[in-house]
Amino acid sequence: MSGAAQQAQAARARLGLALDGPVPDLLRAVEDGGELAVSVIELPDGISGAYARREGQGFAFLSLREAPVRQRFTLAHELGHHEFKDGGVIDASADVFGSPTTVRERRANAFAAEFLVPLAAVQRWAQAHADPDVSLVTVVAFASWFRVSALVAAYRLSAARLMSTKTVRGFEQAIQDGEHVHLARRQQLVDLPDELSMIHDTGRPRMPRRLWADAVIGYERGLLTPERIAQAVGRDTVEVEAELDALGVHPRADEPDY
Amino acid sequence: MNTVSPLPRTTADLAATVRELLGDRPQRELAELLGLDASAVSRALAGKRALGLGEIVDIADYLGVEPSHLLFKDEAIFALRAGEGTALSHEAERRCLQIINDVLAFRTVAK
Repeated sequence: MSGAAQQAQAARARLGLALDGPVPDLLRAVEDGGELAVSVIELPDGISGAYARREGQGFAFLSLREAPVRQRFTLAHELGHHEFKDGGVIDASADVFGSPTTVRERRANAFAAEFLVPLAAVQRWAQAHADPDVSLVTVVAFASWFRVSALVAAYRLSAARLMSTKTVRGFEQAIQDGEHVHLARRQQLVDLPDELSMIHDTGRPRMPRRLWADAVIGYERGLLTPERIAQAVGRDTVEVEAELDALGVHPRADEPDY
Repeated sequence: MNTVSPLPRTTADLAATVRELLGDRPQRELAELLGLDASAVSRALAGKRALGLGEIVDIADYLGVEPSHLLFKDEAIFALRAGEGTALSHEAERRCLQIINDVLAFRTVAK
């Protein structure tokens, strides 16, 4: 097993995720564990994500334009950069989803693959499906179960020796042609909702959850204004005021001046 | 101002920065300012003698820069990989940096 795979398994264990199944909600798991502050924002075409670390805090940035299956893999990739203590990095889509040219990017991809689809979970899935057909239908069902793209699903089935490399190569063109989307619809396989899919549905940028939680405390202490919070979270001041009011949060009068 | 976790300069890096800012100004002026002899200043500018914090503050004042400019170096937030042309657009990079600064500032406020 590669070092990246071992690191991915250790990260799953640390985040309370068993190795024998899919990650129910990647964004929730990563932020709850305090590993990364995650933003989903507009990034230029051709860039899937970015990673930075400041004052011991990791930051991941995901492209708002990309589909949740791609955002999940990118987030796992950025978590890989964080795990390996890589420096700040801009991740081109070609590096995350194509053929990475650097050791660092290949390592982050290997981490992401094992983190999202551990080989132990693939074996368990195969046992539960009693020798699944070597077909694109199987790939699509597998992808839906693990909340990853059809291509990632095919590669993981190949890595687990449930499909040959030659078979997977044959599927690549069909997937690029969108055949897997049609098959998923025929089987009524829906993308199970998670926080990233909900963000995608809103179409609005999303700031790190920690930012809002700290903003509420700062407002309560009289140290942050609704205008400043609105600027940080990228929303209207009126909207922020209404949300703070709905939370029953008001500035305290007894806070000393700083 | 970039407020996120600046990296301290090494003695050699600090010396090189002072030399660059000093330009054509005579070293003796600096020696007089610091109350040092010429050889001590020469060694400091060669990176062979560490400068004290008070000396750095005096030098910054003399050169017309903030002491933090001499003490810390700005670190690019994202390493740009040579030849791959994947630099974030200026606007996206500014937004990422703003988010990082806000998260760290709000964290401090909430402590």
